[in-house]
Amino acid sequence: MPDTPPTPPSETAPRRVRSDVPFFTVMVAIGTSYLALILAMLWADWRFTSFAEIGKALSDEAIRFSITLSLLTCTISAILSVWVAVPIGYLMSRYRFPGKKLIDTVLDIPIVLPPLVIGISLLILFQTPAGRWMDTTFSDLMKLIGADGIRGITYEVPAVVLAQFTVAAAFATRTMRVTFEQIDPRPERVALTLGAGHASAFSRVALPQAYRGMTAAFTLAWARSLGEFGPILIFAGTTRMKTEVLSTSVYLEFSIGNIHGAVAVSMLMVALAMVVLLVTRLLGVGREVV
Amino acid sequence: MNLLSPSNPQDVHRSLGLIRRRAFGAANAAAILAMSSAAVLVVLVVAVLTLRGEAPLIQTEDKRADTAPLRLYCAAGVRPTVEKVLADYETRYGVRVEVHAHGSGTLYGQIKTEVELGTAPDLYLTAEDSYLDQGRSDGTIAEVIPIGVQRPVLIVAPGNPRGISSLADLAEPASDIDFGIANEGAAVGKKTRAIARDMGILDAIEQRRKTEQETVVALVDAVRVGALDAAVVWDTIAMMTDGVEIIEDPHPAFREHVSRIGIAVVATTERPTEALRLARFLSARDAGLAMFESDGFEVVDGDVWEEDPRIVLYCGSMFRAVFEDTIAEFCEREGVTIDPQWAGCGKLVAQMTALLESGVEPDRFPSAYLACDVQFYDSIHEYSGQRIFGEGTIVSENDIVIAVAKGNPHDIRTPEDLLQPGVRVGVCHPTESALGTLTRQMLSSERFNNIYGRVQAQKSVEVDVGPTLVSQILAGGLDAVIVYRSNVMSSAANLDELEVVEIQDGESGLARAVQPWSIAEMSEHKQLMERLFLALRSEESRQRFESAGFHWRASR
Repeated sequence: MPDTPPTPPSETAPRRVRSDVPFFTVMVAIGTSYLALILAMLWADWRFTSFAEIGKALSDEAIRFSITLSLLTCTISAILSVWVAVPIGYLMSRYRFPGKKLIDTVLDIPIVLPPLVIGISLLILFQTPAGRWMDTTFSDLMKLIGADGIRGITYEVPAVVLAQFTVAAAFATRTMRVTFEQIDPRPERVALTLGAGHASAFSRVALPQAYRGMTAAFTLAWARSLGEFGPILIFAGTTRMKTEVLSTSVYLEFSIGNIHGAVAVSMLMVALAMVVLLVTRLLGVGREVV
Repeated sequence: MNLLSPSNPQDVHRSLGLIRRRAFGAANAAAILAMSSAAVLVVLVVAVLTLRGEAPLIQTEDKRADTAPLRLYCAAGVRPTVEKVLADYETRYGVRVEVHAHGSGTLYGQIKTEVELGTAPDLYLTAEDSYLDQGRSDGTIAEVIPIGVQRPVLIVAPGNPRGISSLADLAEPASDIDFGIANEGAAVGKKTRAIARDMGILDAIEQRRKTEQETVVALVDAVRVGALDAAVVWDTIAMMTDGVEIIEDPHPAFREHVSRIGIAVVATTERPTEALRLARFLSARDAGLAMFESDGFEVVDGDVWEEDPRIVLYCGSMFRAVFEDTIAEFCEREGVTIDPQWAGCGKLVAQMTALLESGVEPDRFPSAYLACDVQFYDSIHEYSGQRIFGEGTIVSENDIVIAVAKGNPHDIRTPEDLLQPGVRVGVCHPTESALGTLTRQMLSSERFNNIYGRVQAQKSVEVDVGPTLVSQILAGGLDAVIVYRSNVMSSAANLDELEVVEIQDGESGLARAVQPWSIAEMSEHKQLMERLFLALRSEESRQRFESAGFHWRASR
């Protein structure tokens, strides 16, 4: 932001300073309308549930399992997404290479495709010989470490993570690319002239500045994973106490006509998402301040 | 942060210092981030692995903690093969099994008495399937798994010194052939008498037999040592025994009266899951049945052996409220895992088609399919000229009704009333859902004045499954929905807020869906699915279906 406001163009007649009230009124009105929509939705949800209903949902072992599984898988997917997003975002923002536009388009496919298509594609992928091999190898690996309960990838917990990751990583990648594009590349170039290698310039100059972006990418990926539904439904199934996460719990409750249960689980999701997003943002800001 | 401000040389100098410190002095952010996030990831993965769901993903304790041996009552003629299979089972899983062998009928009588006394065994392996039927009807036996078939044959001393060619030779009045048959307590004894009855020589056989033994093994030994010239025994025992010769009697009765060998779990066992696991092992094509086959038995198409098999099952979403508990109880008892996929039948069929096109492996394809309507079963039971599902069996029927808010504020009595202005109507998708397809067929018919097009124009929403419509009308978003009766009755609370309007189809069957069950041809667990089907047809299951508004069509 410039230190001094730009000098107004000189005019012969002094210009009447207009009030800022209409500007802010319009801006606040538009902004509030969306906020009001979100709050109205929550209010409407609340009409269909109660603390007793939420308590009932929480006392259900299957729901508690689905909360724990959601928290764990979302966090794993979000971390994996940031791992993938940082190098892709950096390379795409800093370098030019043949086929870059094509790669850019391919990276957007998971964002553009309907989530159900991602689920079907993953399901089919794991029926190919390579997919089957991965499935069996993973199963063998799990046996080796004593996790006999996970037999392969398809219809198992790893399928939940993979389904969430496939979509969430695309959003994280986009965020990281924008982040690196907004970071001035000159300090890295200067670091290079001072004898640092590319790795050093990346990790000691660019990456520390991208911390806020990484936090944003993580929260976006986490939130996206929590809301992920279509691919999980198809690729991991909706087996109670095994691959059921909160989004599928809502679907399962709604699909049997139990709207009160569905809304109670939805409210739990809202509460959970708000807590996690607030904590992550506070952590992110705290680090930035430090 | 703008580190360089080219306008001021002092700023440039300061910025260069900052960059130098960052590039060479500060900690390596990438390494720290990678390592710390990897550590968090490891902790999370371990947490997922130790998460206890339907079964802990990491087995922390041995399910077979009970070290007392299982008890099996076994038909005497099958014992040698069974003991080989049991030895293999003990080596693999450390489970000991006590075997008590005798004639199938004698054992059955014993089990009936012991059930009363509370001392019955866990399992019963019989060479005569009629005892299994009896046991099922009198409640002595719970599950039954078929193993194979035995045929009665005539055996004689090597070289057939008495020139015997048929059972009829033994019944000749002038014959001095010493022969023996098993008594009626042994399965082969019952079959021998049935054959003799068909041949019209039962009385002669009963009169002329030199001996009647309790087990088939005793008869084989008698022929082998020369105490008898001939005997009627099981082909499998005869083939396994040196020192006897089999005579093929051409009479068709010998081919008709075969015996089906099966293993049954006794109803009173306190360890049903362990007993069933052993029964599955004994009847698995790559475990017990392989041994039976190598011993000359004609075996059935058994399941593939897996200690804890995981089965995929496709069910129309209408069944979730009525079938989910049955599946859970079945899995608990059998010690298996079933992953039911509940969705609209259009989606399920599309998913199966995609799997078939991608050359799916059998364990990924649904082992069985409970369809919302026969036409969805019809659309997938054959694919590219190949049979995908076996014969469908009708389980239930479900009426299509109109659900409206309590009090029926729009006074909807017939489908045509849905066309009133301002009525917000919800229907199911005509291809994705069985209900939608049936709705289209019903309302496109002459009987309903072909109003489907107009209802489509009027509709506010189209979804893939009926329960979604129920949720939507409960939420107040719709005034009337065309759904299955079971969708409305799946929860008693729904009836406090909704009312069902019957659709009068004049017995045309237009307002009714028919639900078949079928087992996939490629399933590696057909026997397990047969038992699940039996559970689906149980009395408890019938009550669940009927209380949810289904019409029950399956028989036990």
